[in-house]
Amino acid sequence: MKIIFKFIQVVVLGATSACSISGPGDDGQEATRKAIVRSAADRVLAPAYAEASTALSGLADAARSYADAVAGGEADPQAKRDAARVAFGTAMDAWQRVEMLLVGPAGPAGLVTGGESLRDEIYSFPVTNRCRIDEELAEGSFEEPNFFTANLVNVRGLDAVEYLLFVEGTDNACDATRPINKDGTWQALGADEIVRRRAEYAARAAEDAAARAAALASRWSPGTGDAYAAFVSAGEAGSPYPTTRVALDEFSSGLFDLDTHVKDRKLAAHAPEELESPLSARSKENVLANLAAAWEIFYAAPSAGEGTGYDDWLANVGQASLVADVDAAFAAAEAAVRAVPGSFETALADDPNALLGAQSAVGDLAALLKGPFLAALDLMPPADGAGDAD
Amino acid sequence: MAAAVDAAAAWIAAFGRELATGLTDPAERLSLHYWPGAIALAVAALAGRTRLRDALRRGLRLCLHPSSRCDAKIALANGALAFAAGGLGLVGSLDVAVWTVRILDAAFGIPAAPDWPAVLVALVYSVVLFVAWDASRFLLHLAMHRVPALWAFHAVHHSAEVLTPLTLHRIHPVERMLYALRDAVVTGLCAGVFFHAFRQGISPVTIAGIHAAAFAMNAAGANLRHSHVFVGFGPFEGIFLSPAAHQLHHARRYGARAVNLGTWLCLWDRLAGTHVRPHGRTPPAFGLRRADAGHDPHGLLSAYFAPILRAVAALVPARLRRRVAAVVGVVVALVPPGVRAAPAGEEDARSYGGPSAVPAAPRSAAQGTPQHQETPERNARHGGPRRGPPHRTGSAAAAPPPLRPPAAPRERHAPPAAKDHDSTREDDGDEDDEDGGRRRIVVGSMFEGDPRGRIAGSAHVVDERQLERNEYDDVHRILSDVPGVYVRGEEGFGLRPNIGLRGANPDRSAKVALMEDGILLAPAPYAAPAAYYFPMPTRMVAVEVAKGPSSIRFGPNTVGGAVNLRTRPIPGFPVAVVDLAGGRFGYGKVHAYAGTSVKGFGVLAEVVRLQSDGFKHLDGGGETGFGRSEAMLKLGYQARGRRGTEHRVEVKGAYTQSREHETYLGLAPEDFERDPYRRYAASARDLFTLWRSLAELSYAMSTDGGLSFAARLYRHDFHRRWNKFDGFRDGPDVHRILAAPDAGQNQVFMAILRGEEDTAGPEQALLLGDNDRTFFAQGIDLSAAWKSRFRIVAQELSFGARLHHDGVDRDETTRAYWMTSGVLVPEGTPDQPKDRNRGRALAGAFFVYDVLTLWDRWTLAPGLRVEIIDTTFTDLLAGDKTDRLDTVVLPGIGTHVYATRWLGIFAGVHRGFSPVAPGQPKSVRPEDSVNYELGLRVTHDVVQAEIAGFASDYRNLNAACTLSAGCEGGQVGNQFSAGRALVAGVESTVRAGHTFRRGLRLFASASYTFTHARFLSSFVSGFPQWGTVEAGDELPYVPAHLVSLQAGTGGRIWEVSATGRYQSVMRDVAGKGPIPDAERIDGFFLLDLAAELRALERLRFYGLLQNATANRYVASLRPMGARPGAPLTFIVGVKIRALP
Repeated sequence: MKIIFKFIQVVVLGATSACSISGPGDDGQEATRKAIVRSAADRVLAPAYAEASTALSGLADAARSYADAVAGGEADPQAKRDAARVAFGTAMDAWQRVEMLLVGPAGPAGLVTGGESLRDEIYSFPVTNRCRIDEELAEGSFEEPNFFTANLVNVRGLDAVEYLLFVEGTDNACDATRPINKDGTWQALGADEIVRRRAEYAARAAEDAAARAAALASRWSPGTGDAYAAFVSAGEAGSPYPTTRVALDEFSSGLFDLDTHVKDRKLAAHAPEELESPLSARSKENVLANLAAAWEIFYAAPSAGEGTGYDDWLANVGQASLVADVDAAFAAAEAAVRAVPGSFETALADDPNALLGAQSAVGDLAALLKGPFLAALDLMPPADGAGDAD
Repeated sequence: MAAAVDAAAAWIAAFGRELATGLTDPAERLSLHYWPGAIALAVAALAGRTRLRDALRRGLRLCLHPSSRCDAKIALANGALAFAAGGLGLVGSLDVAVWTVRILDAAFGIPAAPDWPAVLVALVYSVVLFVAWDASRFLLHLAMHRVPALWAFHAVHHSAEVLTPLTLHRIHPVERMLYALRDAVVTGLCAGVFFHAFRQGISPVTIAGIHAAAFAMNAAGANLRHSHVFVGFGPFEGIFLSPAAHQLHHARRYGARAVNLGTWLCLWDRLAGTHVRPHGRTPPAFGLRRADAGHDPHGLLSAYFAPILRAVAALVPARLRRRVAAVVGVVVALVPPGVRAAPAGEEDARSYGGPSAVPAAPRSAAQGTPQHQETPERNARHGGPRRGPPHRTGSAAAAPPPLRPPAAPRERHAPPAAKDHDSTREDDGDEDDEDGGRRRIVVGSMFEGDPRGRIAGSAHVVDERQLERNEYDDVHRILSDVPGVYVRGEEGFGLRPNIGLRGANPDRSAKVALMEDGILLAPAPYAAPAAYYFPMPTRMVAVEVAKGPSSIRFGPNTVGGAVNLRTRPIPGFPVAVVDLAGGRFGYGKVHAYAGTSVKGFGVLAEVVRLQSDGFKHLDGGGETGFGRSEAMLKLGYQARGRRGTEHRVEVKGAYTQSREHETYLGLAPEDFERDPYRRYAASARDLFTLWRSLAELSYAMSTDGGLSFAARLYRHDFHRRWNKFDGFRDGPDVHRILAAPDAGQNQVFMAILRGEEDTAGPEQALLLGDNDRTFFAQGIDLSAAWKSRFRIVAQELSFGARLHHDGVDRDETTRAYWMTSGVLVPEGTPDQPKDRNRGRALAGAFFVYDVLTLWDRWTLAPGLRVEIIDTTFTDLLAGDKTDRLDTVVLPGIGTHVYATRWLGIFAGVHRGFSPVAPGQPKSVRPEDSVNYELGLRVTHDVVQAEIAGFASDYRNLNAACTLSAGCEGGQVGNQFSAGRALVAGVESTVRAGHTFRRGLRLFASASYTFTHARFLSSFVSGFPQWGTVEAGDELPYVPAHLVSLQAGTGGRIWEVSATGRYQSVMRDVAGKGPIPDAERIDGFFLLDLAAELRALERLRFYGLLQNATANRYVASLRPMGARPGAPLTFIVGVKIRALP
């Protein structure tokens, strides 16, 4: 009889489990988490996306001005090209902040809540293909109205703009076996047409990226943006983020990206061509922007005194000393990056190991974040590769 | 008898003398004559470089190496074979010499003998002979290396991983025969030519009766050629091949394209450009990569039989192999017709649960014994018509009459219907069926020994008739009729099935105790339980499924239960059957078996070849099909001892070889929608190859007093190599790319997969893994049972013990390719090691199980299982070693009571367990659950039905990461814990049938399973099918509803049936509420139709229409993307009984 009773008990428990089982017990930090979520949305995410949109819009204007100058036959369009290049730098600085804040629609589809991989539509590094850009350029397809919606991300976005604005000379990036070289299509264009097309292509790519960035920013707009609304409602009924923990796990994933994306990719280069932005020679600035954004994630605000961040959460759980350690590690990492002489591109040209110091410092920071920081707040690293037996 | 013993003793003595001759006859290289020279050279080479003690210790290690042990086994077996056959030479040198002289004399006339001094003639003859021998050896040896069919045999010699002088005799009998033939031909030719020229018999210059030069070469350290003593010939190195030169020949780095192929002279190698002068030290490794060897370098059976299949495969073009099937079919079909055949029975998969009203085992009354009616070999085992065995348990009266059809005409070897009917009704279900006065001993069935199936707990058998009716090659389809079984299709053929029971994760069937004839069949059930091998269902006569408390007899996995495949038994009289089939997509099947028993000795040989061109088409073209061959040989002897004790000894050997153009890469949803049978260009190079050898020796006895005992020794070797697309070097996870192919950079990787976009940089390189894994499993399995009855109490007490050792060696690398214009082109970078590790498990398992029956109405079946598992895992890349020891006690109890004559109630509870794979830290706990079941069973003349509720209350639910589960390379082997979970549900099955007076039969059956599977804890897991889990989330890949319906009708010579199956929607990833499209596997319905016509007694035509509605459905979203189920397929076949 006891067996039968137990069986019935188990079945009843199972039948009601879907509605009766509660989530993990509250650890008394829910209010803090809510505050961090709000601060992150208001002080970090929404401003970062808005600033990126503004900067990309500036880039689009500058690139259009340069393209028009070339098309209009201005005698010396170089000044406008230089202006476009400066605008590209501004846009990249802003975008590199966003690179660490891939929460919501900008985040990878299937990996983060509401992820639509919109980041790749604007900047697809490292998935780039300069040869394909040149092929599209030779074919003139970039001037078709639906080019930027119908084509793959490796022929558009900021990485394409960088190539088109900064490449020198009139050679293409394809090898001799590709049709544009084999059948003479490229050569037939002539130097002037190549310059014109590059300018026009850059302008259109920049305009497309700016439009997409604007759309993204509007989704993070406080009050009206759906991504913003979803994020700040984390843990509430109907929110795509079932708990505030999930929202904060995704927000903090940028901290762990320091390890995989910055240390192991951007700082692992041993030659200039392995860097992120070799043509514009802005790889160093990119990393500095990444570090700055990660620092903002930690404080959930642009400065330490503002809002509520992980630092406050750490203090609440008796780990205030860790805040200082993290702060120091950030400072050390930034200093090590700045200590690389000149740009990364010139430094690597002189010494293939020029980035080792910076890589080591960022590694120390990442280790601190993945270790004590993660353990203290019981945060979850991104889903990739986290196994019980790791 | 005494004469036989005397003859055997004489044979053994003679063989012993023959072996001793090998050490004393100077014609043998291992003769003691040559040891002083070898020892002297070895001492000279090692003196000063190594201490004697170290050298001896190393020598001992080499001699005890598994490879050396295999040398000895092969040498001994070759010797026995040669001795038994009176030598392997097909023709003697004297024969050749005589024929040579005759031919030369006839052609040139008899010449005048030149007047040469005898010494000169002998010298010239010696030189010619020496050169001819050496040259011919070289040429044959060269052919052995260059001709694939010959290399298959010679690889046995080269697979030696260490070299000892005995390695000389590590050669396949076929090679030995070829060399003997060469010797006869060359020696005979030389002798014949010289006799023709000099008109006298000439002997070469000899020492101790041996060609002097050969003696000298042997004395000069020839025994060191197969050793690790690296001795060169110094200044003569360019003239004679030294031991060191021959060791280079065996060096692993050269593989099949070996160097230094000569025996004595370097001349031939220098001419052929294969000479490499030895220098330095002993090569670091000898032998071959296992895939190159094609057999287990440590296994005698594998070394003997694998090369034969490999050579046949090398010699016979695939197309010809297919056509042979058709020719055989035409020839056999010409056999004169006999009387009309019997109709098919109508029973099918049936359920035996708890202390059943239905007799247990596939031979029971409840089955209507259709297979008894229609398979002569099966009748033969029963000795034709049953003789109504005595009631041992006295429980027949308590059993309601089973469902079965009225009598139908039988073929001449089938038992008369009425008799059969009576006998099956009276069959008391124990193992003492009479067979010509001889008790049938069955080993390897899960239920055969159960007294009338009184074990509480669900038990199902898909019998031979049902298997034959649908002729399924895919075990998924076979098992989908059994309630409580969940399957996940993968490649559409069921080559590597994913089977789960009662909610256990179906991935690679790792949570189910899979057995063939009661022996665990997974390549390494403890060390690597993923079943990358599964026997071909077409050669099985029953598939048994045990769930509930009865499954504690079959560990190590007891959560879900056990699945046992029963192979064909040795028939009692001559039987030969050929089954040929062909169908859509180049489907072809050749299945043949033959066997007989004479005076207690029995033999059965069975071969199957199954192939298909595949139903998928590759972007850019290429093969997507498979071809698998399996062969099995059984030899048995059964004898009756004094006081009615029966003894049975059986040897079983089997070999499987398969080549499958299979991939883990599925499709993105949009592509699946357009064409589900497409395969991306990225999978063009994917290829899976395997071989498996099996050797089992069993002994069983039973007494009239109800005591029985069985002991079985088994050894299985398995090697698989899967070259397949794993992912991108630095891109998103492929599963994610396929789930969202239009999202961001996924577009680019997607286009590369399709071959539409070229790889633009190293990070976009495609990595193809070469997943090379070698497994073994061996052990001894003992079981004993004792049946007794005292007044109202009947009892069967059984014990079992198993000592099992298994292991896996993984040697996995990746090679990078670039997609260029739709074609995979090697990047040219070196292969990267991915995994090199070794897992080993030593497990002792014991169980005791008692079935007590009171008043023939109430049965109580308590049991206890103990598993002690010691595992080690060595990461050869990292140099880490992990050990762990798990001991677990698994109690269980079941009960059954008859409420009425036709209604039984059963209940049971047992502890479920699934072991931890080697290499997991101690913090990883084994899977652990408490399982309950409660049910009702109706057994009536017309209808049989059963409904049972089940619940598995997991204290810890585990999942092991495999590539097939969707894990990435670095995660494979990791075990993930989910904590508490609950799987509960209801299983039900009902069947009915009726035969009308004129023989028309109608039959129908249905089964339904409802499952409610939920996590009870919240966690985040790296296991890709779990991810972020909230308490209350549903388990992935467990459909809520499974329905199977079958209906059919038949007459005397025909039958048609239809089987419909429905599986409801499943999740790819844990969750609750609406399932996102990317994680949704829609429910699907499948309809299979079967028809058969028994035109003649010996001829059965059958036709199958599988997936008759041409339903396009997703079978799985794992490992990478959507995988289609098989499309509409038709198969037509003919089964011909050549004998009797």
